[in-house]
Amino acid sequence: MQKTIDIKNLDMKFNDLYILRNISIGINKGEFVSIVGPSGCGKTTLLNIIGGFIKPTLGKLYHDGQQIKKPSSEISIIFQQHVLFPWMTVYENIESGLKFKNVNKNKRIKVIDNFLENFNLKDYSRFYPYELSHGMRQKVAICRGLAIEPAIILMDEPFSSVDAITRINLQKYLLNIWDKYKNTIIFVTHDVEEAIFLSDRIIILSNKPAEIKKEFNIPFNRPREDNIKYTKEFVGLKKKISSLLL
Amino acid sequence: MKITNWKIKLATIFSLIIIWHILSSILDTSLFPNPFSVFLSFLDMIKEETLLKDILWSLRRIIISLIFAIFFGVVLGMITSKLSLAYQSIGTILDYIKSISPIALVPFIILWFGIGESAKILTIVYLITTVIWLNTDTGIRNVNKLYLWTAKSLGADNYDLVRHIIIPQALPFIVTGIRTAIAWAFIIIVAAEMNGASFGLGYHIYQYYQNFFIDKMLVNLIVLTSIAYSADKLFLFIIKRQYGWYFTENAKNY
Repeated sequence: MQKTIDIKNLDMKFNDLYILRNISIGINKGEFVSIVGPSGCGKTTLLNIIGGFIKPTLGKLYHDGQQIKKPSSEISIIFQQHVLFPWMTVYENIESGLKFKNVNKNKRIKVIDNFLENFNLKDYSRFYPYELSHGMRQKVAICRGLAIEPAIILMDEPFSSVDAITRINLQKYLLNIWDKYKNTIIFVTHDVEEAIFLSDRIIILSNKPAEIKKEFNIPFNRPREDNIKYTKEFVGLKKKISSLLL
Repeated sequence: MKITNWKIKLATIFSLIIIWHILSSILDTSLFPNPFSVFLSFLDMIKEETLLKDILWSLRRIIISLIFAIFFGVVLGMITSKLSLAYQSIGTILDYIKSISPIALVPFIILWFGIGESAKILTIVYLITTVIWLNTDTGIRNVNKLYLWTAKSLGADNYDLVRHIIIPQALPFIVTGIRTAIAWAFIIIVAAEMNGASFGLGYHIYQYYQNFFIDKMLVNLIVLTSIAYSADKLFLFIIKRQYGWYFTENAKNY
């Protein structure tokens, strides 16, 4: 079966310094893949390349057989800083992608109301980003990225700057949405526990220049409950992966 | 008694008028009329209709100049901020000529363009376009790349990018440019009207000067300044209504 995202022999150089080396990854449709690595190893750069924002020095990337050359709404990205449009309200932010794609008004209202409801943002639809807490901004950013029902979702450490309790809630929201829309998700994080909890597969990158160190298939069934984080298998896996990152 | 803002403002203005009155009684009244006689002249001038015509003609020139300046300034700013070639060529020219003194330019404009309305408007447009251009250029360069990237991955085409990302982000800069342009227009109009008009607030200041009608000079001056002040406040009001965001986080002390 054709991989939905196919990365072949990717190299990325900035000013004679190799950031990424010989990265080859194949991702299946509907898969939830996490990319884990130490801070600053080039995970964000890799994601930006997949998103079509940066051209790799060497190598080719394909989305459903088509080469990725520029950003498109098929591959939606959620950056580390929420990057909400500060001149738009919560409602307008979530609406923005739908408006760009010329979705008609009635459908827009339905989709946005649905997200506001599911993410507990109903009371905040007229608020501006600067009036929201950090966790809420992240929620809005996720809603905005998901509202256009993209085939691929790229997420760059979306929960790293959020408190632990909010993070657990956001993870749950994310899994619910993913379960419903069955998008393909590529999730970058340095939090091993988060990666194991969320993903089908984990790809571990080494330090600069980042190469693929190892891949892990996550054996746990879905839907995943919170308490699997305390099981022996989970902790064992976490230990194994963490040691590879040191 | 609660001391509110407008009470302080009113008290300040009132005190200034009183100080003015005291000063004018101490100094030579023929050179420095007191506020009361200025006010009486003001009433006369309203009756004669000269004042009204002056105001209308000056305003007309300023409004036309602003329309040209905003259009060219913003468009040029968009071009030079996006195209490196344009910035190196047109941008260099604009950058240099923005330092030309418009007052020094007045005799040249009279020589080459005469003393008609277009010459006057040209004088004003020449000065105020560059500040709008510079601010627009800076504002657009200031747009955060991540917003553009996010919008692109949400399916935005070029039109969407300009309308929904670039303009709102550049708007505070553009607004500053336009606000400055409005202020400068009211300043330079006096020089622009100096020669060969029949009506205009600035023009008549010089006419009254030659005839030694000092209180009429002061009336025109005060009227011109007050209109400039009001125009600025009106502009801010409109911007605040249309683009409240501009004011919320950034400038709560307006």
